[in-house]
Amino acid sequence: LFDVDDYGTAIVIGDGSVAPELEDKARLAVANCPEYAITISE
Amino acid sequence: MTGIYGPVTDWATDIDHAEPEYNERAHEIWDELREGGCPIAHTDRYGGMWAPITHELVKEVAYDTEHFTSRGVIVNTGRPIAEAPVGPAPPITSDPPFHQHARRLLLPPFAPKMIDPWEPEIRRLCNGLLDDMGEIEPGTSIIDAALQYAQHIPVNVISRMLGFPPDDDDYFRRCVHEFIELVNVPVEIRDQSDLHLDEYLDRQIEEHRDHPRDDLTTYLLNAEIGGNKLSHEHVRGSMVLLLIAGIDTTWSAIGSSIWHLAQHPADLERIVDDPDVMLFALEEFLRAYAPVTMARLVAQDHDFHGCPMKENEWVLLPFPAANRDPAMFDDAGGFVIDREENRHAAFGLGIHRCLGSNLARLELKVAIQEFVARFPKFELAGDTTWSVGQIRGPRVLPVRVLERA
Repeated sequence: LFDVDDYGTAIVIGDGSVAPELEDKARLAVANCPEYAITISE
Repeated sequence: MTGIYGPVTDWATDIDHAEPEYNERAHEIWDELREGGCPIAHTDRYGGMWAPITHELVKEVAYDTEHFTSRGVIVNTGRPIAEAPVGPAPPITSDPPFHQHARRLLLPPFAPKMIDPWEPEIRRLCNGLLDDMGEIEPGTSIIDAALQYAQHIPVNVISRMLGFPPDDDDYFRRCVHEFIELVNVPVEIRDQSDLHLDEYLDRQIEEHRDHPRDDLTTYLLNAEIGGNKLSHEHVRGSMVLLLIAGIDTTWSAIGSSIWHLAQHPADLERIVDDPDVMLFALEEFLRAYAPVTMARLVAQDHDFHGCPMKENEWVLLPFPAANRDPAMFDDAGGFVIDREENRHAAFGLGIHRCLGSNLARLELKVAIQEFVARFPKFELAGDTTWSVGQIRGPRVLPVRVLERA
């Protein structure tokens, strides 16, 4: 779902669409982002 | 050397984080303050110090770089001489706008792709320490998980990353002790230190100028801000930061985690039987036993939620207290080993958030994994001695090994 650049900043891979098998992990990311910077639209 | 202030009788009106009782009873003290309706404690000690203890207030101070300066981040009886915006240990002692330049240049060497390759080396280090404990007789052997294990891991890694000689770990631990623990002594006593860390670092800088190599010291010597090399003071200050911040913080987190497991056999069993739970357990160790409290100085007189804060008074930022705030976390006082939602503040909040968090997480994870792999069952075997001051963790931690792999 995410990659990390040379500065350690997380960036979304591709267009941000989430494969069904990764949906749980995407929800974990939303629940734990310290800056509340991740949202999921369904 | 004992402190100049003496024991505390009222934590709301006379809080002192460097009295031994504070770290021994930290969780109870925060609960008592909350239940007593005191979200911001105060003391006249240290020339005036405030201590917000809720997540909301700690976050507000951490984000407000206008009213609170990072010129000083370790509360003590004196005041820092080096001026903002650089400060004595950039970027942690720097304010905007300089801060972002000093921070940005340190991010790449601590990004995951530079830190992850250290994992095998950290595993070897941990196993070497476990081997050095000698013959272990389950049921009778008592080891000290702080003195024989936790305290050696981060100092070894960061001094190697900086490219320092291999046998100076004891010296670095003494530096940490003087910088972080000996804070409630007269300034003259602090000034009389015989450690001369600046001179030690000057020698390392000189040696690296003559013999550049692939390490953080050479990296800092080659780094530039706006096309200019860093000043000598900036290079040395960032080395102080990496050395100090990289030692007793993670050492404390490893020790507190083992301290918890030694008293909670069900959590220990879960980690041994279900290694995948480590993803969540790691964050819960960091939340429940966050080692690091930072501080700020009040930049100018202002009223903060009814508290008349005066310029140059200290403000303590107890991230560990914020992590146990029931307004922020369900079961905040408990330990939920598989807690899925865990926005803890163990690495701080705002622009000064820990830039070594990838390394700290790796060291903590590997240290716990290797310890429980070697000793799948263990229990506390005596009194724990806690550190004093802003970094909280066990300094003496006797553990009886009950099972050896």
